[in-house]
Amino acid sequence: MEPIVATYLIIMFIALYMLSFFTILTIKNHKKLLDAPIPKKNYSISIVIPCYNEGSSIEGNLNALLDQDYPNLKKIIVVDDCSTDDSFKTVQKFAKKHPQIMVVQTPKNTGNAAGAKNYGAKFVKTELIGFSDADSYPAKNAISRMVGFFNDENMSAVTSFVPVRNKNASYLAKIQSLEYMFMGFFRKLLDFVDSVYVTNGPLSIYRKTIFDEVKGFDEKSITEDIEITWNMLSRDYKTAMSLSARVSTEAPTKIKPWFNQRTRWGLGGLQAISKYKRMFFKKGLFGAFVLPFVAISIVLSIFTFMFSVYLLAKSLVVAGLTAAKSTAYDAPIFNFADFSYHPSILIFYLVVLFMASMGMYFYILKKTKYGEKASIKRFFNMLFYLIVYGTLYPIVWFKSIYRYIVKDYKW
Amino acid sequence: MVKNKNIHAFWQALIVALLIFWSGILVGVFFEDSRIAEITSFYSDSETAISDFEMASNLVFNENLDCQRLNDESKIFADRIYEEAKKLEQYDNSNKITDRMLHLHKRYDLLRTMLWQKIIENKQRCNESVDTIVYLYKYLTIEIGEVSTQKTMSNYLTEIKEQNPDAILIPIATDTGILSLGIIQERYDITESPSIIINEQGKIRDLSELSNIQSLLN
Repeated sequence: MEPIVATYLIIMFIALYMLSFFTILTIKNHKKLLDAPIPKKNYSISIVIPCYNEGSSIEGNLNALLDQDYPNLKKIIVVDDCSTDDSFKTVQKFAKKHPQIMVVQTPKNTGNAAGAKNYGAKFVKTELIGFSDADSYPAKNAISRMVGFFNDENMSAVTSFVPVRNKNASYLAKIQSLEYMFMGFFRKLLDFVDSVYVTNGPLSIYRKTIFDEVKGFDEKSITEDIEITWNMLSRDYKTAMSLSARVSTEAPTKIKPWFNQRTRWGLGGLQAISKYKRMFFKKGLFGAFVLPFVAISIVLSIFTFMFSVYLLAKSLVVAGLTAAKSTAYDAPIFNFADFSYHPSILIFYLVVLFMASMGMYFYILKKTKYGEKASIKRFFNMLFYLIVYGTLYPIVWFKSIYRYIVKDYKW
Repeated sequence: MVKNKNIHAFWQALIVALLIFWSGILVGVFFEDSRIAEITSFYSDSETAISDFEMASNLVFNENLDCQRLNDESKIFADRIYEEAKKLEQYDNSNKITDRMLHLHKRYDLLRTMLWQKIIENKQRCNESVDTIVYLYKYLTIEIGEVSTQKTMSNYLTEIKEQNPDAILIPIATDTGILSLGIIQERYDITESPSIIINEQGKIRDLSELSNIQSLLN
């Protein structure tokens, strides 16, 4: 067998395994996807919002939190991380009308969200502590759809489902909207095997005692939400995701901020893998599945990209050289046989993966009530997401790896 | 503890993935089988035809019969082999999971070598002036420069064949391990591929010599 075919088959097998795994989890749990346990007690909760130059969006976030239907939301603590705009004044003014809101300011800018979050956590006295990004708007029932998961005494953290609010702002935002939908859905599926490995920034809730036990967020980590989740999982605590707790957020609308955000996410993932590498294949599902799953996903993504680039570059170089030589020696540049196509094993797997992705897409649209109906236009967006966005995304990993190697951990 | 026995999803997924994967392999083998069956069928016909051709040659030479019919047949037969070679090349370009095509390729190369030898004999015995262009190339090369050179030569020869439909074009791979071809290469002092032999005399070893082909034809 040719090495290229063998490589392709290995990649396809891993992809088929992951597809089968998620499909089986979906089939087994399709009735429970949107379930949220009814809280056995009225857990007290405080929400901390780190704020750095968020004057324009934070009022929306605060209004959404004030509008929550959960009765025991004690405090909303806004931590101003020494903003350079008028955020602090705006929030203070807003807080005067709402006694539930407490505004604090860090003694000096901490330089990352983790520092501001940890500072705010010092003021929390409730059983549960939640964190929300200033540009994220939780739906009215978001908190009440999350707290019931804490009925399980081993539950350390519960995260939410994050649709993109500004999906019509640009094509990039529209594509990210699809991406967030997939991410949220697959995160929920991982919940069924106790493997939710990220508790997102838009809204996640932690049991305060466990939050204190892990000493809060790691301020050296560039993605503190991944790190704290892995910290809790590595101590055999559970994490969960509530697909019916919706928290809309703003996605970057332009390439550069999107690239920076994704590079940061990638860098944070690499930091977390490095920090917990000793637990590979050692610590229950965290070591046996979560760590290898994340690591293999990264390696496979990069490898598949490089493999595709290699094949494409090779074809282009051969075509270019042939064209140059043909031109130089007066030979035809191509003949009709070059355009003939004969189906091979490549096609079968690609068709299976494509059909399954499409089936999953329509199922997720329906299940999550994502506010999008299937249409030709959305079908092409989905194609773009799967083929172009998915193929080019690994470029982000190269920058993340570079930053990791040179230890560039700036936010 | 994992909830609701979902832990079984890990091995269940492995079974499903193996089933789909195996189905894919079967589909791949099916595609290859159907192509190999097609090529094998062509090959059988060609093998029969070359035996027939050989016998006809013997009859013509032994009994001093008219060569014309033999010459006409050799052109038709060579053209058929050439068309089959193009088909084989197309199939070669699709991904393969078994190496059966390589074996078939080797058999075809042997057949083409035999055809070439038969045509040489006919030309000598019948004083025939038919043009033969034998293209010796590497089948297994992956070296980019060599691949592009071969592609250029191949395209050039395709055009030459279109311009000279009566010429016999025989592409033969030199790296499939055919002993007799190696001996013939030595006879013509051909040590490198790709090379082109025109009418058993002119040799083209480089792209810069391609323009000489027309002048070497009758």
